[in-house]
Amino acid sequence: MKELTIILLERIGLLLVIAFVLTRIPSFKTMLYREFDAKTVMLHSFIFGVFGIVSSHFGLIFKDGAIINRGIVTVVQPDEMLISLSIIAIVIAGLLGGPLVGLGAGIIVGIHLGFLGGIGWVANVLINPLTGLLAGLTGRFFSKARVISPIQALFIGVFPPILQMQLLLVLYPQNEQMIQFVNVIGLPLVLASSIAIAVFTAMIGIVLAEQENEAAQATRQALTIAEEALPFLRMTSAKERAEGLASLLYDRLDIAAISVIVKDELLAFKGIGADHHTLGPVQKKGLLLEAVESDEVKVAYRKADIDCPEPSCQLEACIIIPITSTNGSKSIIQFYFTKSQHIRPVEIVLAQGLGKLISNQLKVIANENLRKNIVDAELRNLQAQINPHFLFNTLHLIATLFRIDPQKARNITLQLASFMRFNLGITSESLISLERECEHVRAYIEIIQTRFSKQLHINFEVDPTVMNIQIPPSTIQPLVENSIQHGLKNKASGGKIDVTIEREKHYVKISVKDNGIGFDPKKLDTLYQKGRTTSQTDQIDHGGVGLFNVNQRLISLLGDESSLQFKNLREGGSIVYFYIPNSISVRRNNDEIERDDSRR
Amino acid sequence: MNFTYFLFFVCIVICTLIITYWAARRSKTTMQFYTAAGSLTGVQNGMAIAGDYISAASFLGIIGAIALNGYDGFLYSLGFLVSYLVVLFFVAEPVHHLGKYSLGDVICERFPSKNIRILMAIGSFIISIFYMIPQLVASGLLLRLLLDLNYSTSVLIIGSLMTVYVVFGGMIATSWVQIVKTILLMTSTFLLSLIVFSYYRWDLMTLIEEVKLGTPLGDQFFMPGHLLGSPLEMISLYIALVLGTAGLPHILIRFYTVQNVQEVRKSVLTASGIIGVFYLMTLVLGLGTAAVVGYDTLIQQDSTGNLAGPLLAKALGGDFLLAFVAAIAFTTVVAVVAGLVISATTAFSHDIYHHIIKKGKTTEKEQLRAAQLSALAIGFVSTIFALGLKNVNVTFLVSLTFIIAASSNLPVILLTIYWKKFSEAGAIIGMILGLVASITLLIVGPHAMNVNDGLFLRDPIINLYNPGIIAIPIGFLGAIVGSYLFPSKELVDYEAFYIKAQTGIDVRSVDE
Repeated sequence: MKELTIILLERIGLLLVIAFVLTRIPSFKTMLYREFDAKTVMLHSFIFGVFGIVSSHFGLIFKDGAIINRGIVTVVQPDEMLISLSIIAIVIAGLLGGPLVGLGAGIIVGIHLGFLGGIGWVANVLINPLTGLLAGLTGRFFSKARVISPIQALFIGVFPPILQMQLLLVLYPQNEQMIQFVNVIGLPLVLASSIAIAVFTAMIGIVLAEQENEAAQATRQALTIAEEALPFLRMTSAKERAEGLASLLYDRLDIAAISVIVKDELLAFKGIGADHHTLGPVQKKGLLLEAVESDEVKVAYRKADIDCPEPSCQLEACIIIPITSTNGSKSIIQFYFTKSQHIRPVEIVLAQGLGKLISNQLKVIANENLRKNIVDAELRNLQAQINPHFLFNTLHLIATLFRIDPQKARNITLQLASFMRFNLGITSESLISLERECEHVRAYIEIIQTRFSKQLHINFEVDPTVMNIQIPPSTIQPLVENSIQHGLKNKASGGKIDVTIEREKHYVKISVKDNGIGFDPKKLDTLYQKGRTTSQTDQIDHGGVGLFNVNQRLISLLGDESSLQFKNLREGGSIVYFYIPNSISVRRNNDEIERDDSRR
Repeated sequence: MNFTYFLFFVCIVICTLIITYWAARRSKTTMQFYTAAGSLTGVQNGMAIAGDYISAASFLGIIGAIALNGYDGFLYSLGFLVSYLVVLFFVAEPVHHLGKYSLGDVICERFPSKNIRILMAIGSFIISIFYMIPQLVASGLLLRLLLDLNYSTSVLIIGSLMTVYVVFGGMIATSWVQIVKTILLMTSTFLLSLIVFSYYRWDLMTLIEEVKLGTPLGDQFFMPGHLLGSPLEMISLYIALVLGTAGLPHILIRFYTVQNVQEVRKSVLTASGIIGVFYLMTLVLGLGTAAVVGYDTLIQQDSTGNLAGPLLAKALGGDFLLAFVAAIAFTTVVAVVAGLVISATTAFSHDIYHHIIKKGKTTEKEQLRAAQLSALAIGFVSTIFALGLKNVNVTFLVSLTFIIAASSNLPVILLTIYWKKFSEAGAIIGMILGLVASITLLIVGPHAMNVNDGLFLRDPIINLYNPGIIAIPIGFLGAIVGSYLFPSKELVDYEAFYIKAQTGIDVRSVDE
């Protein structure tokens, strides 16, 4: 009996090898989810049926009270009996695929065994469908989980051979040979079947764990990358952001190439094909456009779907991930692959996760910045409201004026009141009309002009048709203040400031020009960037807190294109200017504009 | 010991331990421990009841009884089945509605008295223990025969297994061990019956002819009068069987394990269905034994006929089949004793410890702990008793439990539920009288007083092996007369109680 058990276990070892190979087939994993339609049931029945047929040929032959080991059984003589191992395959089918798959596979194997014949063929024919059905029902009964535990399987595996033996006894009564057979083969078969089924269940458990690990791995990877991407995303230069992100993702992921498109410009490309995927404007079309419009990850499986003019390009497939930032601008990250087969569901899920995470990070960063700037603005306004120097100087000026020009003194007092009132209300709105902003600037200019009438002259030129444009409050005045305090710092006389608001096609250009010392040329190169990347404390050291703050508010409220531009003028002095889109205007009456105009 | 036997045996033990482990993780509250938190379905509970009820004595004993005594053996088994009518119609639903964990809860719902609870607990406790000890003794003998283990080892194995199930898994583990047992038992007896039929080429007449040849009774085999000679004994036995089941605490507490009254009915129907089919199959197996094995071989192996089933299996399918049947018998034993342990545990830890000693003031945790400790103690003590009673004929204890259940528990349960004038004093008198009468009658009966091998070597005072016919009326009369003599002083709102018993709707709490 021991030898027989060992022989059977050897045979079952072979079967388990086949089963192991089966579990490596990717589509096998779909079996582990119990949502089946008729087609999959038939397919799985067929697969396990074939597996069962193979296992019956791995069986042994019983003849005249002895076991004959014939290698692989091909023919069964009428006086021989086949010890089929097929019930193991069938039990597995039932446990995995449910009662229907078990039954189906059992029928297939049963029919095959019927044709093989030999003594006891009737029992062999009947036992397989019956076992499959019962195993399926038992599996459902015992376990709500997808796969029962190996120990449960060990227990369940005991019963199919018992059932088979009893069926043999029922079908071949008063048959000494059969009783002998049952006594010889019963226990080894019980042992072998129980162990085989338990091992197989354990195998399935590993496949499942593997699958779950894969998913967990992808999630973890996405989270890690999103974390690592934070410093890059914080960069305010779109170019640096794109490049940083591209090289990070390229390093972390197993992809052939990566590109980052911001708005309509390819800002970064890394990996295979970098030679001909040149940076620059991109025309969004096809899947790219679809992805951006639907805001969903798209996968290009064909080369034609990839926007690449080079026919020899090795990149054949890509995943397109749209990224939306808070100001509504769309960016696209594309993962390229050299073969479309490289795109597994895991990659797509990872891409989706990454897209969401990066979008969220961007939102978080934007919110963070906005909040910081609002705090800055509040702080600054607070300063402005109580700026003692400005207030005292002005009061002093008024006091002086009372003696020489009471009318002027009255006017300046009114302007001071207007200026202070504006500053009081500044934090309540994020955007105000240009008209109000101009009043504020005008009040400031008037006070300053009166105070420094000998030293400088401020010219304020406004296109009256743009008065209804929206602008962040207190953006122009700090520029003028900056010119006075820094640009014209050393100018005892002849200082000149030109504040110009003019319409240009789709934009309104606002510029403040002075004829002072200009920006330090060393600083100027980096001023544009610095204004956006270095921390605020640095800026305060340079005395540029006003400009920094204005720039940040312009960017967060109106977008990148409204950021401050700095230039030194050839004839001396410097100009600071910015554009605001004239689309965000509020309709107002022409009357009012005219009145504004007349007032001026 | 034969390796095949051993393997099957180990397999069963592992399976039940897995169940216990699984149940232990779910058995966290007192509610779960005592009643599986009402989580079973009616069908599951029905299977568990059948598993609780069909003892090894039924499985092996009835087959033997039929093989040896023919018709009377079968008649004997009918009593077990019919008793479920009483359970279904009179007891099951009210018990579910009124009680929480124990049988004492039911009576105390109407008579909230310490004494009643103590008495009910003692009654339940005695019944469970008295039922368990002979089971353990019998199973020890059985395992010795089947697995060739010595008696003490067998009893120790079964005793520790049942204790482990109950201590760790409570009612959940017990129920599932019983369900598994029922499934195994039913499928194996079914297959064995099929093998018997096919052995005679599916021809019932051949089988009957062979039976007549195999038994010395010949044609008389199919006639009554071989096992139960006197009609009085027979009626007495039947009364005890039929009424006793409805008073068996381990059966009745099973009705707490389902959610609602529909499930209770389903439980009883499933249980009686299974039990009915089972006894029909034992008939086939009994006939098969008589025909295939033959009277002489059977008597030669074991004069009680208990080995009929295993011998039949061996004759039909050799060692393999025998090993399987032995394993089933083993499962049968552990499932039944586990059910008894939990019933005794409930009576002790819920009624006596929680309600009487601690006056209902124990925390959830303490209750659970107390229950587990009681289970451990009960398992331990019963095992020790069973070890000590090896050579004593304790089978009379089984009939004693049925008689106590029928004469002490059942009158009180029935009258509490259905009789308006029933009083607390009546309940106490009925219980005590029933208990005392049953035990006295057994002591003065031929089980204990026997010239040959009794406890007292003399002629019995009352020559009735089954004294139920005397004890049961004593119990009922005691309760009724007691109620008339000492009527309830305060008028308990019987209407409200009755409504709750029948429908589960608590009218009193609604009024408040």
